[in-house]
Parts: sequence; structure tokens; C-alpha cells
Amino acid sequence: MKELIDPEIESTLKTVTPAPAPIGLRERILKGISTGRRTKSLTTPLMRFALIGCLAFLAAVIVTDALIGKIQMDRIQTLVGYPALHNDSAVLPLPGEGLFDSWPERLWIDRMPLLAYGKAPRRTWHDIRDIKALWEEYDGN
Amino acid sequence: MGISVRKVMAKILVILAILATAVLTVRAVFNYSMGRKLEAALRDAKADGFPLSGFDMTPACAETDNGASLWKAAEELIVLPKHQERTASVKAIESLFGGSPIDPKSRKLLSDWVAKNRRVIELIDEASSMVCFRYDTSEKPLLAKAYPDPIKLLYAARLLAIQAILRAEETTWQEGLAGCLQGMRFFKNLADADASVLIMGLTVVADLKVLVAGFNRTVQGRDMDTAELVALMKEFDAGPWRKKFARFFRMEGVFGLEWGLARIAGNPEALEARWFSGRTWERGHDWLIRPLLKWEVRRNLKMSLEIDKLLFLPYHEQRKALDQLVAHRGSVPWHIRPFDIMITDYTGYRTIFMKEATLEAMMLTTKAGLACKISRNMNGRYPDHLEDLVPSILDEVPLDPFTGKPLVYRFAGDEVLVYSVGSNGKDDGGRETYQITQLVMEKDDDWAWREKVR
Repeated sequence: MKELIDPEIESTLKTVTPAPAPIGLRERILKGISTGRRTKSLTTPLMRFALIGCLAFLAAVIVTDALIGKIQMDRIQTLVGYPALHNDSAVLPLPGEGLFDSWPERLWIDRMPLLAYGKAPRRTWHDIRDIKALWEEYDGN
Repeated sequence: MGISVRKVMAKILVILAILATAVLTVRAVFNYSMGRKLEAALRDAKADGFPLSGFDMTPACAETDNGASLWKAAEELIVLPKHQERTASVKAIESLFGGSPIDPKSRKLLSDWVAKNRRVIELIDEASSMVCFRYDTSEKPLLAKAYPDPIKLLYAARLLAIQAILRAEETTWQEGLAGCLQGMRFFKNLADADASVLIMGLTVVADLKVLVAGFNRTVQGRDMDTAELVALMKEFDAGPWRKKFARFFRMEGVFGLEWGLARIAGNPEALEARWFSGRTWERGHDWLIRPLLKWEVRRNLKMSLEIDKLLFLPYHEQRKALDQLVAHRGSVPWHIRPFDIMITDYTGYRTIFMKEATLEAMMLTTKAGLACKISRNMNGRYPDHLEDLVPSILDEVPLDPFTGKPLVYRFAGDEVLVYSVGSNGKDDGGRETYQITQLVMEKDDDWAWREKVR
């Protein structure tokens, strides 16, 4: 029990139950206080309310955000007229068919490193070296 | 001790929950407002007639008029140069630009390479007479379309130019010349293709430069009749070409829009084949930064609209306008940079405009050079000034895209020289260097048409 006593409790205890006290009372009180304090911080109505309120609000925010986002995207898609923003990846060009399979280096525009490096894990360094060599040769023309 | 730890943990938990709620609430509000702004920007752009879809920019093309079918066959058949041939082809291109002869060993390598690709050259000739070019006829957005292979396009242009040079030194130079012209028409048709994004535009610029150089090498110093020269001059009008090049920029704007919208739509599968591995953390990351993605798409759209206003200005004005844009709002805010989103900047466009201007400079000097040849046919001598060619041969004196002033003309002794001062904006007396890396990048000398007087 000793390790459960903090200085604050100890001082309060001395005020409430000055020694000598009935045998076992001191330990029972200490046990009761420490057990109560152990869970009090999460079980008080205020804390519970704060936590549950936060989580409920968070869930509401996420759901509302998703719903509004979907409605907005549907409107935008109607506006731009793309029938297939949600493409099936299966219909995308196979490796070797697409522009970026043979030439990922759109590096002269700032966004290009992202595009090029995003592709890197799919290639061996040997491939990348070859592509870069072709690119350098191309850019010289 | 144990109570203290639990108390602290509990407090941290509650604080974290409140913090997460606050952050995600702000994110949701930002997401909503950015969405509204993006929607409004798209609506305004549409009302102004700016294309928002590749479908808006691609008229129908009957299969019988489609040059892409022939190019697809050529793509299958083309034999790319082996290492030795590639080195020789680079040297040949340099000598092509520089007007120096090709050494016999390289000549043999190149002749063999051209011979291996005879059928490819025929297919390109055939495709050049077609009305339109639709590589991917499916009803997909640009993002999902298949594109011609730019490396193969590049080598195709080299084949045509090298064939022209080899034939220029033989008796069949007219065939080489015709090959260059058909190649130019073929590559110009690519500007009207279904997926003419900027990368294709730069490929076409590079290819046309090679072919214009091949053309010059074939025609310079050769006697040709006036009617033929007049017809050839029309091939080098910069105006129609500039219109075609503008389409690449607009397509690029649409491409960027599609890319951004697909990412906002939370659909990395649409992008996976090209840029994303589609891992869970990437999806989570994209969800979290969705408001920033919307901000970025709107910013890119505004940038496309601003670039659109510059497309028909001469390069020296484009450069100034871009410098102003870069100074005012070209840089990306520091707090956006860490998110690794599709950040584009105006500085990249300056390089692209410059590359196009070099082609235009080559076309205009060639046009002026051909006009000088016509003048010689008509009057028995070259003109004293380019102004002398107006209005009988030229509508106006061609202006140097790099300065806005007339091209420089020199007729002295045994040489006629017409030149643009090039990207350094400095008159280097028509001096040109031909290192391959300098041909499209910033170049410290001029672009010239040079003809020996006989």
C-alpha cells in the first residue's frame, strides 16, 4: 500500500484520522481513497461527458465532411463533364503502352520529381538509368 | 506514482481527443470552403470558354482519316538505334545543325539504320497526309489515355532528317526534302491529337527542330524554282504553328485538372498505374490534405488561365509577363511545400516558352532565307535589306521572337546570313554552336540561315 500514498493524501489522512486509530482503519481508508482516485479522472461525469462529446462530435464532423465532399465532387464532375473520374485501374495502359512508362521525366516542371520518384519503386535502377539517358539525349534535341 | 501516471495519461487522452476534434473540424470547414471556391472557379472558367475536358477539345475523327493507326504500326516496327548508332546519330544531328560533313563510318551506320526503318518512314509519309490523329479513340479522360511513345517519335524525326541529309548529298535530294516536309506535317498533326499534353508539345518542338535543320541543310545553296520556293515558304508560317502549340498548353491545363480532381475524389486507383502505389498511408494522407489538394487544383486552374493569356504574345513579352507573375505569385507558400502535392510553378513555363521560341526563330529565319532565294530568282541578286522583300515576297519583315525586332540580315561577300539573336538576346554576328545540349536550352549565340553565294 505504501507506494499508493502520495503526500497530498498522507497529509489529508493525518488531519481526518489522527493516530492512534482503530486497527485496520488507516489501511481501509487509504485503500478506499487510492482506489477512488485511480479511476476518478476518467469516470467523473465531466470527463466522461468531454470524451464522449468529443468522439461524437468527431464522428459527426467526419460523416458530414464525407457527405458534403461527395455532393461537391458530384457537382464538380457534372460541371467538368468527366464520365470516368473513378476509373477502373484495369483499363489504364499497361506497362510499355503509356507515355510515362518509357518516359517518366517530366522534370522540367516543378511537380515532376514527385511523378518520377513515385514511379521509382516499380522500376529497377537499371531501368531508371536507361530512361534518364534517353531523357538527356532527348532534351538535347 | 501510479496514480500520477494514470492521471497524466487520462488528461493527455482527453486533450488529444479535443485537439483531434478541433483539427478535423477546421479541416472539414476548410475542405468545404475550398470545395466551394474550386466549384466557383470551375464554373467561371467554363463560362469564359476555357476547356475543362479533353472531350471539349477533340473533334471527331473518322477511322479512315486517322493518321494514328499508321503511326501505331510504325511504333511496332521502328528499330531504335543500338548504342553505336545512337552515338553516331547524335553526332550526325550536331553536324546536321552545324553544316559539317558526316564521317564515312558514321554515314555507314546511319545508312544501315535508315535502311532498317524503311517501312517506318513510308508509314510516316502516309500518316502525314491524314486529316487527324487520334491515338486513343476510347472515351476516356486524358489521364487514362494511351500516348504515343515520345522516344520513338524522337527517333522517327531523326530518321527522316538523317535520310534527308544523306540524300542531300546524293542525286535524290528532292526525296529527302519531301521526307522532311512530310515529317513536319506529321508532327504538326500531332498538335491536333486527342492527348496533346505539354510533354507531347515539347516532343513535337524537338522533332520539328530536327526536321527544319534537315530541311535547311538540304535546301541551302541549291537552285530551286520560284513556284516551289513560294510553296515551301508557307510551311514556315509561325502563326498557324503557334495556334497549334497553344493547344498543348490548354490540354496540359485539362490534364492537370483531371489529375487533381481524381486525387480529390479519393480515387488513387485512377492514378495508381502512373504515380501511386495506392498504399493505405497514401490514401490516408490524401484524405487528410484534401482541402490543400482543392486549393492546389484551383491555383493550377488560375495559373492555366493566366498562361492562356500569354500564349499568343511574342516570346520577349511572354518572358516579361512571366517574370512579373513569378514575382507576384509564382512561389508556393512554405506551409504548402511539405505536403508533396502537385505544385507547379510559372518558372517551368518560361523554359517551355523559350523552347517554342527557338523553333519559331528557326522557322522564321528559314522563311526569310527562302524569301531571299526567291528574290534572287526574280531579280538576279539577293536583297540589300529584308525590307526590300516586302510586300512582293513577304507580307512583313519577320520579327525575332527573342527581341521583337526584325531578324538580322547580312549580305556581304560570298554569304547571305539571316539570324535571330537567340535566347541570350545578344547579337553574336550569326555565330552558332552545335553542342547537342545547347540546341533547345539557353544558348549563348544565334539561330541562323546561312547560304553561300555562288
